[in-house]
Amino acid sequence: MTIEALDISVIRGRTRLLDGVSLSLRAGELTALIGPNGAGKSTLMACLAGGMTPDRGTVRLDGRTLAEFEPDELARRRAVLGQNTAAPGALILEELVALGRMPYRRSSLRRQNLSIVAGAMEQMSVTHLVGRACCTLSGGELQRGHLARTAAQIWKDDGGAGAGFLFLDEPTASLDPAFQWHVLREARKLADQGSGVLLILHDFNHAALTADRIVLLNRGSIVAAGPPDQVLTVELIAQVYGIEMVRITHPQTGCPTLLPAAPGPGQTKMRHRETSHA
Amino acid sequence: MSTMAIDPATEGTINRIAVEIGRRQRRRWLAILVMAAAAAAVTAGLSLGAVGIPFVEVWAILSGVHAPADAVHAMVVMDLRLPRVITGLLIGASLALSGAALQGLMRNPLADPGLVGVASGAALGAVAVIVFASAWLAGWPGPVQRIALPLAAFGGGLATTLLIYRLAHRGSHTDIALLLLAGIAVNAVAGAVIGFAVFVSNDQQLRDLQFWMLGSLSGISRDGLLPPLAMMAVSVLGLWRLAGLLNGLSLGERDAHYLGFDTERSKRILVLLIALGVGAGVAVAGAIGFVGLIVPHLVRVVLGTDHRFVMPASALLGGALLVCADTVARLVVLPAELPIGIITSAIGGPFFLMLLIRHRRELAS
Amino acid sequence: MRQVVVLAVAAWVGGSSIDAQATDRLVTVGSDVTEIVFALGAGGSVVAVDSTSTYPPAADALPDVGYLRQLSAEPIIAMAPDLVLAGADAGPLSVLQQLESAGIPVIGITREDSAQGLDEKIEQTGRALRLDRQASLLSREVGEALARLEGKRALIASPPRALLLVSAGQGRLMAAGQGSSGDHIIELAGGVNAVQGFAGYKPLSAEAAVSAAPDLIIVPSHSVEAIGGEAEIPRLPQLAATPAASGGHVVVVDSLLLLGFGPRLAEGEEQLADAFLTWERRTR
Repeated sequence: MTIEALDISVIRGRTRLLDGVSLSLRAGELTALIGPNGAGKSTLMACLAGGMTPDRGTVRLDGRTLAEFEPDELARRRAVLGQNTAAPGALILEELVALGRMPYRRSSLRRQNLSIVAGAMEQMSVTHLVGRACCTLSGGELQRGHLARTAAQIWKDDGGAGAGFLFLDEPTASLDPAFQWHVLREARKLADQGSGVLLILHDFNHAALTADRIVLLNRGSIVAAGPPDQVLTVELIAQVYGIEMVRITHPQTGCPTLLPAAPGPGQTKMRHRETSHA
Repeated sequence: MSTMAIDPATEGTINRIAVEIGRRQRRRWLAILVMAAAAAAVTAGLSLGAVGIPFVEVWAILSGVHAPADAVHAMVVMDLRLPRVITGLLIGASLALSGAALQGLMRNPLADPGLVGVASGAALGAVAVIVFASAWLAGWPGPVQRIALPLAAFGGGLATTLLIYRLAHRGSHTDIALLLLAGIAVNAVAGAVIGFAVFVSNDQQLRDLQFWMLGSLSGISRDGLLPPLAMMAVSVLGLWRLAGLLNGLSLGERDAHYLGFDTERSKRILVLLIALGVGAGVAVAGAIGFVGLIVPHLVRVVLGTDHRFVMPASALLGGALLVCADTVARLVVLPAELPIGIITSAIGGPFFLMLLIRHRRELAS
Repeated sequence: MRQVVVLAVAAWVGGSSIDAQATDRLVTVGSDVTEIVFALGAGGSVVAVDSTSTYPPAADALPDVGYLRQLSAEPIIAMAPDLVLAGADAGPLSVLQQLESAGIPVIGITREDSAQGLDEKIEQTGRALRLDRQASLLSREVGEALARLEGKRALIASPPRALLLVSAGQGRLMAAGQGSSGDHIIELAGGVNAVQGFAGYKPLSAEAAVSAAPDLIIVPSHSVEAIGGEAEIPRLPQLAATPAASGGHVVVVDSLLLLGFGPRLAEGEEQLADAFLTWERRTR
């Protein structure tokens, strides 16, 4: 299974939110999409997921353009978790997760759906929150509930996780470090089980440690795409973000790791520079 | 692709959750309670009124085995009370479902066909036909004349629904203040135009502004009742079937689309069905307020937010509430009657205030 | 449209059984019809009236079946009447039809706001109640009173321009235009309607009031309180610039005497004609 964007552009007024982007996502692969604010990451994700039709170019899933799919047919092959997705306060957590099974409501047995809902909750470690209303959950708990919902949406019929494509827009936002890593591990696991996963991330090291491939987007165009050590170079980051980084190698995994460079000669801590200016 | 094996411990948890979900979804006793309420309301509506008819006789009449001596009682039950009860049930059901659907569509708990102006828009459509098209319609055969009024009300309701939706909808949510303000504006315009129409017209049916703005079931007769009843039935069944969509819409339109709903098309159907139900109801009984607000709220408090349960329960409870209110309206000032809208507003007004207080913070932002 | 309704009522009344047995349970709808029935001496058999029937006091004390334009069938059926006398404004039509199908004869009384129309109402009512003799007596009485009124009207040398106002709630004033009952009331008392150019009742603006230039302002008693009392009327901003207001020529008439065109019409018209004469004396 592949999702393939060919030369897509999105134009709003005089601004080109996306400008001739080509990208393909494959099953079993985790792609991290990084780039500065306003680079067009969410727009690109929406185009790839079929939430937005590009003004130019096409997006195909297994050779068919996304417009050819019935909405529920598409929904069985990909799930999306946007930023700041709301949930009605009175909704019970497992009802939220069960919404992920909506695309199967005509074909799937009720009992089977229930066990998939439960399995997805198990995977995102929210089973202890069964019966809780969404308004009583913390931001992180709710986010994991949404993740379980999207996982349930592309759950394989034979009872296992990991089919189809998963699009997650900044899934680690509002989570503490422990759960950030938990979510990234689960995303990685889903990819290993056969899903195609696209993550929008801001943290370079999250991307480096999780992704098979990193796509660096700037002003609506892809600046670089490839394995982490090819994209996360000090030069590219300086060019795109205008910040200075130091690259070291992760002692355990050998992954590239970026650290902020020391602010300037003779000053070892940013705090010093601030006080000297004051 | 490998299948993830589920270990026995996980299996146990899965079962626990499955049982938990299943338990909450199986609220048979509640369904029975709501049905009992509806049945009690129907019984009261059929057996109470200005004419005292013993309970036993009412059922004898209904089952067609009454003594021929009491033709008047038979007429009262079959021609006066029965059409009223059936119409009340359907209007209550369609108002409650329209309220629930509007709240789901607007993602806003304060949306009500009356408050946001859909009902006034429908009343406006109906009044426009009576004032401006009655002479023209007189040349058409009876069935056309009979369906013209509910159709015009439907048109008025549809136009208003689209207008307020456009006005108050921003991106993925609906602005609660804009929605209510748009409702005030629509209600004011409708009130003015209906007032004007009533004023320039000599038609008896129009004389009372109160009928259109407060609603009444008192003038209902079997004549010409079928088209609006059919329209309301279509609306009720259609909205019920859209319960899944409303569940999806609770996450926002974008996410409903990602969940596999053709949101644009479904939204159009939703709006059409709301206008159809409210329009037909208004054409028969004027604008009866607050049912669409009270009923879904009460149901949600008990049943939660899942529309697959909220919708049928709201339909039953809405019907029961309206039939009850109508029965009360018939009994409080014996032998005369109150307009039913006075009763629903008397319950609904304070209820609305209570909701406003609860949503105060949300409104202020 | 109203004519259509009236015709429809009349048409189907034609087919109904007027040869019913003597009526001893009667429901009357419409203040004029109620008054006529009581004037015919049949008040004792009236068991219920509509909410507008407040005269005589005996009628006011009877059970109320609701507002005449928004009747519903069951309250009337519950009174078990053997006849319903319905004034021209009674409705809706569907309710009257329901009463018929419940076996209760409904007789519609037509309405035309004139001396002749009143005569006809009395005659129709008398026929419906098989009180034709009493009806012709009442007709004669009313006719004599109207003849007295005629004499009084002849004394008016130049008919005053009169403006009849009713309150429509919230301080809104409506003026009686052509063909309205107010128009007929002014004419019968020997005056001229100061308002020309529209039919029915319309809101009165200050400018319209000035151009109407009424010599007299007539206000039915039921509207006086809503306007703020008799003394307030000449001070109303819309009316301040009119001759009537500056001369203080405001006449309050008993609403029930006049507006319903009931049997006490001549009594009310005489009061009005007296007011016209007073005005004439004062202005000459």
